[in-house]
Amino acid sequence: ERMAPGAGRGLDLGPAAALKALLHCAAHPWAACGGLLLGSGGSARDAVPLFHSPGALALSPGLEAALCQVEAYARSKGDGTTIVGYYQANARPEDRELGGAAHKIGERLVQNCGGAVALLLDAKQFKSMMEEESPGGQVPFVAFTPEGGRLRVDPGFGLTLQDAGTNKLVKEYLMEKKERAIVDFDDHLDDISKDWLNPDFDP
Amino acid sequence: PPPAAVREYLRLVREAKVRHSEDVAEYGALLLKKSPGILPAEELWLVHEQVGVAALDCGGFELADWCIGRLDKQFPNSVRVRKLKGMRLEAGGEFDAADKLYKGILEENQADQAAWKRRVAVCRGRGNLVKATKVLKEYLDIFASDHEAWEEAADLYLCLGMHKQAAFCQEELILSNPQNPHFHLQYADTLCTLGQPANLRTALAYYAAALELTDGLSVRALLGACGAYAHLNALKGPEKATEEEARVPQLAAKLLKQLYGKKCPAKLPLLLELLTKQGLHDSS
Repeated sequence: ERMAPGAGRGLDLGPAAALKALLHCAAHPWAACGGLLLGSGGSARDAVPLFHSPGALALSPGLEAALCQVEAYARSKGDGTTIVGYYQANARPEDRELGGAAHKIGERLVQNCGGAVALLLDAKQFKSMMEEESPGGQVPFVAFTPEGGRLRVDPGFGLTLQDAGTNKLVKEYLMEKKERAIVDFDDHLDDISKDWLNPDFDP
Repeated sequence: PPPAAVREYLRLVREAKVRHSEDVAEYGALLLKKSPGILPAEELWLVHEQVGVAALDCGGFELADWCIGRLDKQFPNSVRVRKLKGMRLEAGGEFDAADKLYKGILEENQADQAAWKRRVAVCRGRGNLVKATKVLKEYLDIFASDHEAWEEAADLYLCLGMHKQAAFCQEELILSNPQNPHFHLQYADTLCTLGQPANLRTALAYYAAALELTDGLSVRALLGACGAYAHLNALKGPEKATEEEARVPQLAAKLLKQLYGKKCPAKLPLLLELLTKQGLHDSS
């Protein structure tokens, strides 16, 4: 039996969550990158970009520090916000596997938050979406959920956008090259005055 | 932007070896097409190559082909231009053709380092990371002092989750670059990932070394020291962290609190939760 992340098997992505996650992926086209999704009750309200290099995704001390701080941040909101998922983009668009780090994070999420969904960016879908005049409401991610101790593709998992205009907003930001200003935990470690909450990207 | 500024920008990118491909392609193209005259001959062709590679990096095939075409005309039969053509093939996903081209170059000259590296890139492009490490290993048997190659090898092994092999490469990097804290940090991080008390203790020593090399300012090293200590402290019995081993982590915790207090006070409570969990902060 698959574990449910919240109310039913699906995740509704709010504009801040989708925007930050997609811009983070777009900011690092040559590397694997990943981050966390925050929210509750089957909806993701925010995203915290974590890392953008394959080494970083695999190595633990930075990852543990990041997970701990983000968990603490979620708790500090006092409104039931928790980590509801993890997103990742691979270096190569043909690579449809989630690496070891995703499983590690997935394990942690299952332990602490009673459920986990990992979203792997479908780079080709993202690209063609952004090439459209007016992008629609598709969610360019493939969902993986825990089954038998591993994260497996879950085609029945419902991914939706809370706001129909989110992809248009993403496209606008990309046209202005705003993805360059997205801060992830990796960037923060190099300069702690950089804020991985990315308040400038809260629409 | 004025051509002179673009010229300077391109030079800085070359020196710093950063990957600003979108900007290099966009501004470099303008420079080459509108004001090529301000570049002396040697630099002109260097910039053609730079812009061509940058164009390939962001899928600007028209621009890349234009640059390669002009370079080909200027330097017929050049091996260096042949390599660019190989990269053009790679960018188009024609990995077999690219590999054949590079193998051809290596048959003429086994010491062509760039051709070797492109072969590794072809493996990577195909997603065959294991083969990439094998080709790279062959290369390193010949060119053992090429630390860019050792870095690439470490990166490949990390992608593959082969941490022991990554650690070996990182050791080579530390040996040949003992003053570079980055390599100490990477090595320590890898050891922490491998786990086991002996590795954690070595990691602690390397985080401490990185801290010395960065005057205690590297946040990665500070967090690393705390993290490694936390794992050691969680052990029971003889392997548990000693008081002596707590010294550097305790100092690291103190420095972290100061740094966060100064540069991102909003996140200080989050740091304190982390340090409390690690046994390095008394929240009472």
